Amino acid sequence: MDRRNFYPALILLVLIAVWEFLVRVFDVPFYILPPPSGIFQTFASNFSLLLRHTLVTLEEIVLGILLALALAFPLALVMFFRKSLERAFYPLLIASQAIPVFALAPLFVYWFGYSILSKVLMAALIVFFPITLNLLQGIRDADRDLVDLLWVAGATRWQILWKIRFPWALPFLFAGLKIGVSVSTIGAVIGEWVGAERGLGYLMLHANAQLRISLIFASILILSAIGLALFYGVELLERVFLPWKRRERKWEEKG
Amino acid sequence: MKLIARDIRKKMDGLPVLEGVSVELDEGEFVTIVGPSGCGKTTFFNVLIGLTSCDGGEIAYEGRKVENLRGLVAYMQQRDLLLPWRTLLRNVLLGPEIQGKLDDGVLSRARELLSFFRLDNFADMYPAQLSGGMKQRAALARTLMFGKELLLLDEPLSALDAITRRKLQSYLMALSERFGKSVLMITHDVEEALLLSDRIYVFSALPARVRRVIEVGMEKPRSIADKRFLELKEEILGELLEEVQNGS
Repeated sequence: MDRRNFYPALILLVLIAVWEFLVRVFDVPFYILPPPSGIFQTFASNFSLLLRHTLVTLEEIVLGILLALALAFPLALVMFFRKSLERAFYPLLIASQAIPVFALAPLFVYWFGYSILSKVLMAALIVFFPITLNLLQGIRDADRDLVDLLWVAGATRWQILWKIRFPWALPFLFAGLKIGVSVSTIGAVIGEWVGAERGLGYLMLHANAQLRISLIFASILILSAIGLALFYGVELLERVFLPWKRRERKWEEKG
Repeated sequence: MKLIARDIRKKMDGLPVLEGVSVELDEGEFVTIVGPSGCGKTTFFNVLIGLTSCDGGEIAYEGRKVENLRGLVAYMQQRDLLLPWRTLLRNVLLGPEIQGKLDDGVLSRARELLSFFRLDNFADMYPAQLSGGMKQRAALARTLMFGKELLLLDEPLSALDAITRRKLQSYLMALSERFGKSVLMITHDVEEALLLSDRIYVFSALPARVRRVIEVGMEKPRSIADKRFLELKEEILGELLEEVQNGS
């Protein structure tokens, strides 16, 4: 194991052990707080059930992220190229973040029904903001001298965008995407809580009604795993798309 | 005449920066501009390439009056300005790429240039993996690949240490001697100017005027120990010193 991951893993293991120990020593009832071993048992015996609902939630989240990306690019570009539109949109974009997504969930379900659409929109809404802002900032932030170099050579604004500004913005985009995907589960689950027939959020509500607390814990575990997997997935993509970043880091360490 | 800039005037925030600067450059010539730092040399370049507007004067390229030299020159700065996300080879290909001229001929020319600049073993490396001197050589190769006859170099070696700079001066020499380019270069290194130039424009302190034009007229390659070389160096340094003292 990587030395970087050793201590976090150790702390986690200790916490789980303490949890198990305390539940057993104080004989906490299973329907209040199940021990980790109990959660694991529930996990194993309900595997296919959990898997089915996980796939639903995962689909909502992934579609939400893709939708957010698809909206972020044109909006960031429009705001970059048209100062007046930036002045028009930017404050609204900021203001949109003041609206608690939770408050919108009932409306979305009311408008778009129990279908997947309302959850995809919830997830997209959460992911959209950090991606768009970071992308815009990255496009704007591009080195003035690099832009001038191409301009003097007679490049068009689209060439400058494509060859300088966009590659420059990629690390910013990935930073925004990492923030976005790690909270994307929130949107989907809330959407499912308010109105759904499938998904981990739906499963949790059901488990709650039946006092199957260990099933709730199992769902939480999976949701965390989805968040983590998405985060590291983005990091992996970043390595593939930004190979020069890794080299830079390696060289700086060497000094 | 390849390039004539006549009586260029420029005010910035009401302050005169360029007060009637005239510079000429013939086909295949290497011409340098020296002057006290902050005297407006870079502003003069920015006017030439169109990054700044001017308040008066005219620019003629190959006998035709032009607004500025955008699209007509290859321009290089003190910073190497290599794109960090591109390998050396792809950096060198930037010019042909934006001109839509990327083909096999261009690719083999790029490889030839890289080997001339002794970078052939580093073609697939990223700029962050290279030393300052190598990056500046790559930037020179890229500047040549823009395929323009006139090069504008703004202190291209200033960011380098003294030894690396001395080594790279021979590459600058090659721009005109081997590749037949016309070069207009800003430098603050009087020795460098004397080693390379056919003509030297000595700028005054702010606001910039041409204080003196020196036709160097010595055989190339030149020796820094040559008697006339040393005399000219002393003369120019003396003038620059005077300007700095007047200016402040």
